[in-house]
Parts: sequence; C-alpha cells; structure tokens
Amino acid sequence: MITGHCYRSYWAQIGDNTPVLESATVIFGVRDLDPAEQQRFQQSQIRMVKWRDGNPQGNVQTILDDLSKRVHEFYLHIDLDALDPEIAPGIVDDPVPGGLSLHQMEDLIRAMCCRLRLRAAALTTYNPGRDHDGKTLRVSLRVLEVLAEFTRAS
Amino acid sequence: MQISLIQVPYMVGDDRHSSSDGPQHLLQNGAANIFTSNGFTVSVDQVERGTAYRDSATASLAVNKNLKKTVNERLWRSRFPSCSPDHAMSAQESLQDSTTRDAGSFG
Repeated sequence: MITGHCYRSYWAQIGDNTPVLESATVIFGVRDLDPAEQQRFQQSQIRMVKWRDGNPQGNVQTILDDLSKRVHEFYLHIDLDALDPEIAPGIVDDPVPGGLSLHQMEDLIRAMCCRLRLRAAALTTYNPGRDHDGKTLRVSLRVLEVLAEFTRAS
Repeated sequence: MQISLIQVPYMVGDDRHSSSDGPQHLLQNGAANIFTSNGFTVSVDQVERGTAYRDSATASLAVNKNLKKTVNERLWRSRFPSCSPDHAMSAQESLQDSTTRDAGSFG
C-alpha cells in the first residue's frame, strides 16, 4: 500500500497518498510469500532480504550502504512477526519459524541508525493474548530500549 | 529530547481483538520508563476511533485519519513519534507530508 500499488482511494481519504518510492523501501526477515507476492516483489525495486532458518539470505550491510547514498532519514516499521516465534510467539498472525533473533534485530537497528536519521518508528502486531511466559513482551521492551539508545545517540 | 508514544489499540479498526491490548500492556510494563531513563521527555497519547464499529474498512479509516492527525501534531512540536499500533500506515504518510522524498522506509 505504501508504495502505491493498492487501496489508493482508501489512502487518499486519509490524506496525501503520495507513495513511498520503491527504491527507498527495504524489507527484512521475509519468510512466507505466496507465488503472486513473490512475482510482485521481483518486478519491483523494493529491496528485500529473506530470512531462512534464522539467517539472512542477502547482504544486509551492502543494501543499507547503497540506500544511505540516496536517502537520509527513515521510518522504521517493526512487525514483531519478523522475529522468530521461539522468542516472539505473541503476535497477531500464525507464526512462521526461522525469523530474526533478538540479537539480529538489535544489529539491524544499529546498522540503520548508524547510517540514517530515524524519524519515527512503529512496533506492531503484539498480541498479549497469544504470548507465552511474557516472551514477546520482554522482546518488545528490549527493542524499545535499543530504539531509545540509538535515538538518543543520533 | 522529546518523544511521543502513540497507542493505537485497534486491529484493523476493531478494539475487540486481543491485540488491541498490546499498547497498554507495553506501557503498563515500562515502555515509557525506557525512554525517560534514557533522558527523553515522554508524552503518551492514544488514538481513538471516534465512532462505533461497523465494519473493518470504515473503522480502520477512522482510526488512520486520527492517527495521521496525531502524528502530524507531534511532528509539528518536533517530537519523535513512536507508535504502538497495528496501523502504522498513516504514521508513515504523515512523515511524507512533513519531510521530503529522501526519507526511506524499513519494514
């Protein structure tokens, strides 16, 4: 939606529906795409780093280096389902194994904030009703700590 | 430095979904304290739907309109906005309003 491929009239009712440039959009931690989604991504300029068995399937640093030559500020949207369900089971949708570890998430945030100015962030899909032993809560709070530390430092 | 924590306690406009409790749960367990202990002045806001729930499309539109307004107001006051929503779309859109096309996006 944010790159202008769907729900344009809906978005226009909210306000300015100018899409974000595909070339300024990066997605990390993707694990579960259907064939149609896969095809759409392949045809777009959106950069995507898939995750498999807990490991990135692309060079994160290279992608961020490239992006930082073209943009200077960023909005960070963290869907908690990017994390592995072992550490973040309390999410809205059915979890998909093989996602980011907390350490990888921290490294990603650090890598972004070292290159670009963080303007805003969203932490989404937390579902306390599906959490186990407060795992997702603890991970969420740690993510907020990292955001606070790097926002303060930038 | 100031920061605005914006709660959006809705799942596609619906406040009956269990994820609607997420933002409040984070705050009750110290989300705001994390920022104050890092030297931030914290304000906490909550986006309201402002109308009765009829269907997802209408409800989420109402929520996102109010979220956009809230984010814009906080940006105007030069606060760093941080949302705890399931609706971050308007937050991003608001940033486009106030910044330039050289803003990237990570998801």
